[in-house]
Amino acid sequence: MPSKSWPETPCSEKCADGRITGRTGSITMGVVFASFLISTLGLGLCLLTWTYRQWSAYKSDAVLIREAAENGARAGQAALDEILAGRPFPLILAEGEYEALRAATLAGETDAVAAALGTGLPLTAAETAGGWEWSSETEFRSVRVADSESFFGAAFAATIEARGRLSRRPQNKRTALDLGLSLMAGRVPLSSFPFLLAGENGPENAAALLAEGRVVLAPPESGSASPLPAAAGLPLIPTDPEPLVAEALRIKIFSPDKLTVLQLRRALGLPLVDEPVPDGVYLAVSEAVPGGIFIQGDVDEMILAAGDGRQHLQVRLEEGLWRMIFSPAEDVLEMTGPDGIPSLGRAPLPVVLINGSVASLGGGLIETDGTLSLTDSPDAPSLLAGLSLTLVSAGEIVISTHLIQDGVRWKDGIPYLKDASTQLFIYASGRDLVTGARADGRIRVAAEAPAGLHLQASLTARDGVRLEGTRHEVTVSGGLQASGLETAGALLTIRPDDRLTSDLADGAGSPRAAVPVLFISGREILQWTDR
Amino acid sequence: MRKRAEDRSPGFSLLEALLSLTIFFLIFAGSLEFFGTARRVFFRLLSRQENHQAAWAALDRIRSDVLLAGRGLVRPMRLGIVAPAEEAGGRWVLVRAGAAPVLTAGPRAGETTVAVAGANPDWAGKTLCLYDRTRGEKAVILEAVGGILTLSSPLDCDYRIPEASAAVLQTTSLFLDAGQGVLRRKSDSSSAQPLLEDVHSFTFIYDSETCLAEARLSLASAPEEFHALKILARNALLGKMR
Repeated sequence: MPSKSWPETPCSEKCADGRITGRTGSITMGVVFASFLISTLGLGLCLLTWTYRQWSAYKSDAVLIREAAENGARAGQAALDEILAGRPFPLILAEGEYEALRAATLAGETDAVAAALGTGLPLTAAETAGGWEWSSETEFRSVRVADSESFFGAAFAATIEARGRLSRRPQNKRTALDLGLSLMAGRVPLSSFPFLLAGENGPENAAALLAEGRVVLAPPESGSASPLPAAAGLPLIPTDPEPLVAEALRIKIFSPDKLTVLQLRRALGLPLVDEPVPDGVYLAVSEAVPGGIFIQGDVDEMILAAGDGRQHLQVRLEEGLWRMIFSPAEDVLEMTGPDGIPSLGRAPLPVVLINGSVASLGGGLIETDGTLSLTDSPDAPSLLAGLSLTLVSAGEIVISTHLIQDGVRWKDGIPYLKDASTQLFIYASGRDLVTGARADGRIRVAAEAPAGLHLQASLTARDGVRLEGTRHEVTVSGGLQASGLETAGALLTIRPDDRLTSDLADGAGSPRAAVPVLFISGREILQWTDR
Repeated sequence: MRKRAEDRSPGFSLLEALLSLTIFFLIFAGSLEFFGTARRVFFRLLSRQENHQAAWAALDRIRSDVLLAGRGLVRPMRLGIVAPAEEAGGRWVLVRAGAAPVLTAGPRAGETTVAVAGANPDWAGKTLCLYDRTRGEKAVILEAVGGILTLSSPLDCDYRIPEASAAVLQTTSLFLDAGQGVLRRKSDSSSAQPLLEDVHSFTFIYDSETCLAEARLSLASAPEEFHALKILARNALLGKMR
């Protein structure tokens, strides 16, 4: 039975042999098409997956490359820190070296930095870790120079340029870390050193004290980087307080000449006879500008106090009691001697020369009769706000109570100087100011002193500092420079005064280093910058 | 016999044709369903991917802002004058130094003007931060003309050159415009620009102790799915380093 639904299609020549190719070929084509379709879809999915993975990998690699670049900057900074930690600051300079460094620094060169770091510039560092690679280059440039008569301070800006990459990718990323570095060179003010041991076995002693935790170098109040401790095997503490003596007495002493009795008597307005100056308290007289205060003889008790906008100073000698009340702002002085008769005058130069020792120094309370009495209270200000006072002694100075500056802010039991412009320098020279005879140039904290003693001062002692007693926790807000330090079980915390450690500090009132030195006075990380 | 054989040889029978058509339609319908599903999945994935990218781009922008927070303000941060990131009125404000004018004279306490080299009039309305190693303060700049910055309030302290430094603060605010579902970023006094749209939630946390910042957001299209970023504010951290 015919069952054709449409007429027969004539057979083509290709199927002349009788094979009906269309039937088997359609299945083949269908399979090919399906395979193509599935393959296309599969390949498309594979391509999408690959693209997605590439994009994801790029995202994660971008983060890793950025991290590698940051590692480069960190490595550069670590290399700089390592160099600084390994340098024996302060470095002793020959006069010629100092002059050369000074000239180069004034010309804007970075020779002083290279000398301080002991290496050529720029600093380079490169490391690899796993598939990470990073490198850095640290360059310095001069920012400012403060040139003084016998020293200079300079600030430099450093940029650590870092590159980081992954070994599997050609791309790299750059980042930069900006730093500030300051240094001082020459016969620098010793107050620039928050902690300096300079003398026989100075480096070893300093290292032991710091390692044992008997001395703690706290961060400055500004929160910047902790200063580097300084130590030297050479005696940097000056053996001759002559510059400060000449300044206080308003006279010129030409080296190698020394102060003579006649010069001293003339400066103090005493009869010009060749006899020693009698024990007592004197004012240096000067026609133009008032001089400082001169004390001849051993002082039994010296009390400092601030009140009513004036500085009070009371000195007890065997010969009697002297009281001085002065105000630099008002340029007035009221001085009362053992005879009890007050005399008025102009405010003295705030330098007190003591040609003897001080058996007890501390802050006091102002009694109703105007006399001062030592107090253990840390709330009593010892030094008038805005006053920069220097005490120079020939012999030993014993500190009995707190020395707190006026205008400080107390926070957590610690006096902060942030808003204060006051400074106190205490210098035991170990040398008779007139005869030049050797004396005991030591500063001692008395065993009877308050347990939590606060000294806001810069202490300089030719023959060392000794903390007596066993329960002391002494905090020095300022600095300590000495040939040695005996803590006797006490804990000494030194909190540097930013004003003194600044490369711009003029160092007025502070003794200067005996020989030219070079040291890094400050370093600070300033900011990250992506390139 | 021969003719009969010739009649049967080529062509499809009705049964074959119907069968093939049925198979074809089944395959076609299956393909349509497959492609329809694939299309829906593709567009869903595409939308999700676009959302991911948009969220990632927004978080990357926030990352840049966090990395810059506190830049150039190490000392003011140490002195506690400037916080690199703080919340104010529901907005997170990130602060950095936008410019560092060079002081030409030491600013004096009680004065309302500061002499600088090259005052930019655009600084008007911004905040000036004056500081040295031990102290500092902030004041709004009313006018910046001819090398003189006029401040909104008298200065509290005296400053000496070259110890003193100055910085014009640049602020970036981040906040969620909940009404429109838009995460916005506002730089200084300019208008708030949309950073990401279709936002369901946004939280920003900054730990001032660790200087770690965390931003989390979710989109309205997938509110249960959070995009997060946790990053160390490295410039802010410098203000804590000793």
